[in-house]
Amino acid sequence: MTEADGDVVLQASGLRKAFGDLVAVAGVDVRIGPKETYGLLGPNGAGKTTTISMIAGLLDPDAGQVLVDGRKVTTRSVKAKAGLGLVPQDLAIYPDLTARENLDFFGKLYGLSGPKLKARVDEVLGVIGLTERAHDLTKEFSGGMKRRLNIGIGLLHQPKLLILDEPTVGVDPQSRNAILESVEHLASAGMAVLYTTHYMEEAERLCDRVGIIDQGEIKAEGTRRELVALVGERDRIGLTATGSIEAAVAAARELDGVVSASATGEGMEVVADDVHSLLPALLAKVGEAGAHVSGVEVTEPDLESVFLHLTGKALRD
Amino acid sequence: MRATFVILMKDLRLRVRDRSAFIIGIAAPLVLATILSQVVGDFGDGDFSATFGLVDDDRGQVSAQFIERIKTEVGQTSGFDFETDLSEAEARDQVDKGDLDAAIVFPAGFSDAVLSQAQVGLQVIGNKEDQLSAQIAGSIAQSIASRIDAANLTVRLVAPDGTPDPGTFFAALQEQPPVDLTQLQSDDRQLDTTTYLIAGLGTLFLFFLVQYGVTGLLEERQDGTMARLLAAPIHPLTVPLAKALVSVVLGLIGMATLAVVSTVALGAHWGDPAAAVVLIVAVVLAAVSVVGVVAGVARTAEQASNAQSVIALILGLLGGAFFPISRGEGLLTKLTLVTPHYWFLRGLGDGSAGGLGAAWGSVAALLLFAAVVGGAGTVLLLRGRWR
Repeated sequence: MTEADGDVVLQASGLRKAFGDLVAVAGVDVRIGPKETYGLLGPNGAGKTTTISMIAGLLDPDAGQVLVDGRKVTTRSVKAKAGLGLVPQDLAIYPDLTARENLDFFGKLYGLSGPKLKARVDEVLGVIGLTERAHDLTKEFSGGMKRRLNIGIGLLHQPKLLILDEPTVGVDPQSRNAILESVEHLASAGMAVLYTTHYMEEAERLCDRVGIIDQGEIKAEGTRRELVALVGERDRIGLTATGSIEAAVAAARELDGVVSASATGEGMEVVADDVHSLLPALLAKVGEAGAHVSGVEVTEPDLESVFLHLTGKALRD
Repeated sequence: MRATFVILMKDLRLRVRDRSAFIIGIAAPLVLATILSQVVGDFGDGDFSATFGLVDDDRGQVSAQFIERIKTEVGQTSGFDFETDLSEAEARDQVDKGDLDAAIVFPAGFSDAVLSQAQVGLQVIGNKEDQLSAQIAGSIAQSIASRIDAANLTVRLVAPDGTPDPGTFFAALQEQPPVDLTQLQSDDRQLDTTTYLIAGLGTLFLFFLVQYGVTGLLEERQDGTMARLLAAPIHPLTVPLAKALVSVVLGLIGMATLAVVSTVALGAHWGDPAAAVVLIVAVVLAAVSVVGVVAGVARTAEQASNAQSVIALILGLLGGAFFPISRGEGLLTKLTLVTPHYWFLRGLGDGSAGGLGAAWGSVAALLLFAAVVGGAGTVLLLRGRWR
């Protein structure tokens, strides 16, 4: 993300919200730049939806503030909300309206009208793959189709920031993949995306940066690699090899980026900072040292292990 | 304002598809009122008529004079006819058959007994299926008895020794008619039965109908769409305002349709059009104010619907939506004054007789109700439990 304030789409600072004695969000900061997809990763009850609600102007924070494209967002904001698109966790569509009528209605609420509205509705119907079903009542749709329409409504007015609150909960694998592809498409088209999930693989696939949230606090934030490095986790390469293993281990240790190397019963194991950039050089070096490699197994630390390290519990707890 | 209109149109479209608003707002009151008006009959139209038998078994001077005076004086009142030259048995038979509505029998010895100031009784023959006619005949007989008492008193005053004097007695009897029937008009001018039932039931169902707007707030929250509405670039109060407008529009459409259809198809008389229009607007506002309070307190749409149903029935019963409430001093009678139904029906009656000018009191009462209850509802809605 570009750190210059002028390039910040979302700047949420010191957000805090309590419901009675329960502190749901305790000082959350989030900054998202243009074209960036930011993942808010945490288990159920971590404070994701409350944070989203404050950012979307559904709740006023007890402390802190939200700026979207430089405008302050509160429950009474009008102009600032025009830059936001929200895809709530629960389906937010009218079952007794058709897909087109749903899109028309929300488009008008966002100020679209006439040919521009029609063009956008047609375009979005295409993006979410519902052109053929545009005139069907949505109560006749499958769960996946409803989810896609739910997302389509959020991006109808081409917001600067699209907020997706666990959009794949309860969705079949095929529809889930379609939704993830849609989000990737939006991000590549230049939209800033705030994506909450408790699915680690979704965060890893979609997000440029991830904030790990638990008990209402951002425990850590950064790219996947930064988070992994933050908790001291490394990539591991297991080589199944024969020949001069000891010489190969010594040769591997000489390479930049290798943290450690050791012989194993089936060959050798190398611990490195970035396995992808290291692997070609490592294989060449080991071969030169007289080892014959017959298998390679790469193990990268994932966000699940980072989350476990930071919070002491698994994401799905 | 544009967003309010957009939400209003969306909700109306949903209600049209739903059809329940049409059933509750228009079809149900029309069907019920038609059935009830057939069952109850047209008891309030003022077209009462009856034929009474006057049986003179006495054949004396006093009975003859009373019969003649009843025929000439009471008979002047529109709708009353009399049959004479009947025996008691014939009269009883004709009353049983329904040819006569009731009969008064002057028994043999009536004149002698009256002139000698002895005790004597008149007999009234009635049909148990026509209580009203029997009561009228009884009133005429009672009036005769009173007149005889008054004439006897005059005789005693003129002749303190108590000697009966037929001349004085008949002179005293001439002074007043045996019974004075006057076409009385109540303070609250009455609607005919059909109009009363349709207007009353229409008001009752109005309270069910308007809930489709405001309680839609709770449905939006329940269905998850409220989050999306509140995230849109509109003022948050746009949503409850639009829902209230939906209630008002549904209420106006329902009542206006009811008035037109009942006038054309059922012969209802809603009275002065201007008065009816102003009263309909006022009662719709009053109904919406009630549902505003319900929506401000309830947590779910089901809860709101149940509460609204109870309130609608209680207000409807108290306010005379099913049948006219008699005016009196009891607590329940006083409570009718706090119901929109009472003021609406009273206003229609007043408006029928005196136009819009006569209905302003009822309009003011309805608007006061809407302002007070609607104010409370607005405070509750601003607290934002519906969000």
